[in-house]
Amino acid sequence: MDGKVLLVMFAALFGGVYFLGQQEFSLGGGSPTTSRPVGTGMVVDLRHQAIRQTLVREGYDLNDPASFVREVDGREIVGGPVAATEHLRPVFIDEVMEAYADPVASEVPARPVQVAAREDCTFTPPARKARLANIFSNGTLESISLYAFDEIDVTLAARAAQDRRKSAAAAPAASTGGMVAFSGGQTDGGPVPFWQQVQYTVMEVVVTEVEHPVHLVLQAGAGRVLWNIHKVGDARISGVSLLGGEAPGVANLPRSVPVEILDNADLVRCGIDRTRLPLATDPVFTVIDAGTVSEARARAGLEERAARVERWNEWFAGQFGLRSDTTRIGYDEAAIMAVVGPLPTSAEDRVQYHSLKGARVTMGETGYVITRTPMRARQAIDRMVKDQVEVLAQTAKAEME
Amino acid sequence: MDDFTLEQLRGFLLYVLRRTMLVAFCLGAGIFGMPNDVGARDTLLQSGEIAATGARRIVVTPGEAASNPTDSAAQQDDGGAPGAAAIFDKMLEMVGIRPSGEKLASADPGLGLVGALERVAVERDNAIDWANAIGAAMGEADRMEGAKARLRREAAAAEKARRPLTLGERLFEEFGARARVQSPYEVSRAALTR
Repeated sequence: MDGKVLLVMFAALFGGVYFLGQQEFSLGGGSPTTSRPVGTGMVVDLRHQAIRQTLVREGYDLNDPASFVREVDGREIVGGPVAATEHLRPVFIDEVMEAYADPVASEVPARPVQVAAREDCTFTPPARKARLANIFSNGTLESISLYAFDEIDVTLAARAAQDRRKSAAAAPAASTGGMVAFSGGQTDGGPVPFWQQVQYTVMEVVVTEVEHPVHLVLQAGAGRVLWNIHKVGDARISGVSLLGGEAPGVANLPRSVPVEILDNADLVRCGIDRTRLPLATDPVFTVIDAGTVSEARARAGLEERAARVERWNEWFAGQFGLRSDTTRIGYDEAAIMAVVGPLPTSAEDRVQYHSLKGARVTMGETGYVITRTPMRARQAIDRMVKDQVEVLAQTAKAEME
Repeated sequence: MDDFTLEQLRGFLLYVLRRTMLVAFCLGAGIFGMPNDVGARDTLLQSGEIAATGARRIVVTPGEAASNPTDSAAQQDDGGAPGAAAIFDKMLEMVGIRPSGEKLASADPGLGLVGALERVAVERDNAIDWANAIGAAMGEADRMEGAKARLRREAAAAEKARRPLTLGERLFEEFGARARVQSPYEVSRAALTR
């Protein structure tokens, strides 16, 4: 090969490295795809890039934050860098928060303070002048370095691991060669590893309200949600009521703010059923149109649901003074952030991001809490499950004898 | 490693791989030319000596025939094919040194290196241009597809407005969630004045 070509190829390699580090070029062309910065994480940026490309193909306006929220099967799903607001429309995150960054694994919070659940199934009413903010999240995509679980969870995970081992032994052709992990080794379509099941996701809550103190009702659907509070300097939070989820937690809250908790298990204990009226795309209407369910049966089911919705809203109004359905903000899936208060009108008014690193966390009571990076947490959780598998095996052996 | 989950790491590696492949393609296209692009531009393989005359312009001049006796001798040794010595000589020439040790009139080794870096920059700019052109074409195709999808959506909405409601739609009107008139912000502020 010609020496000149070799030299140019080497130079091209170095140029490529320089190019990777320095240059950005747009796939998809045009300013709409590049005009709005999204999270700084490259992986997330790639995810959003793919979403933006899909939206363009579907003919949506990328400069409208509402384009990033979809109603699918009766659930509202967020697919982009937007935040829920109290104003019946989403907003782009970069218009609300300066330098938002997806949490990284090294942002390990401080050892959480645990708060007992409300035994009497009631919350202390909001302070007299406080304005109610009722936020819902069903878990987000942003996993963090916080894990919590109980002894029973470890036992169930150990039993599941035992069952997987037995099935692998019974079907050697499909065996993974003894590589069945105790809580790791997720494969496509396989069960979610235990350590990921007990990992928290974070929901950012921006408080821009300065006229009145705010009482936050933070409702988690399923899973473990940590609510990370970012408030502007003059904003006051009079109290926080954590509702639903599993051992829900709140971070970066001033020490003086009282926190009360009723998680999903407590709601079941208290006979509180959180329900809302179905959206237009709810499968219940699809099956009615498909003729799978008769009109009379569908009507009876919907009437019963409406009654449950009413009971839930009455209970909520009894606790906080307003119904849940008229005050609820947030989306069902994949939301990142919710904003309480007026939206910033200039870049200077935006809220600063508060990292979770060393953040003070208040959360519901649970047996084990691990605040470590995912790799270390996974090792620790795997070891616990493995030990429990040994205990179960010895117990079974003793019973056989 | 501690700071990444496996999923994040896999995503990151995929990102790097995709970018690297794109860059490799673009650099390849810049250096060797695009297929079926004969005559459209001079590639480096066709070029003799390239002199950078501006930040983003290159001037391609025909290469000189080998006149150096050492070059000719080396080629003769290998039956006409350039041998290792000839390749080394050419590399020396790239940085502005004749095999005899004599410096080229145009440059000392420092200037030769600057020239090489300039050529790399030019090729990088070409690669960016190619990538942006491809990206713009893809974007245009996506926008055309989007316009069709929007028309289909609007037609479906118009059709839905024309036809009578299905049973499911009627039951939604009766039992489904209603659009909120007042925002939660307005509701909670109004409650403070009561």
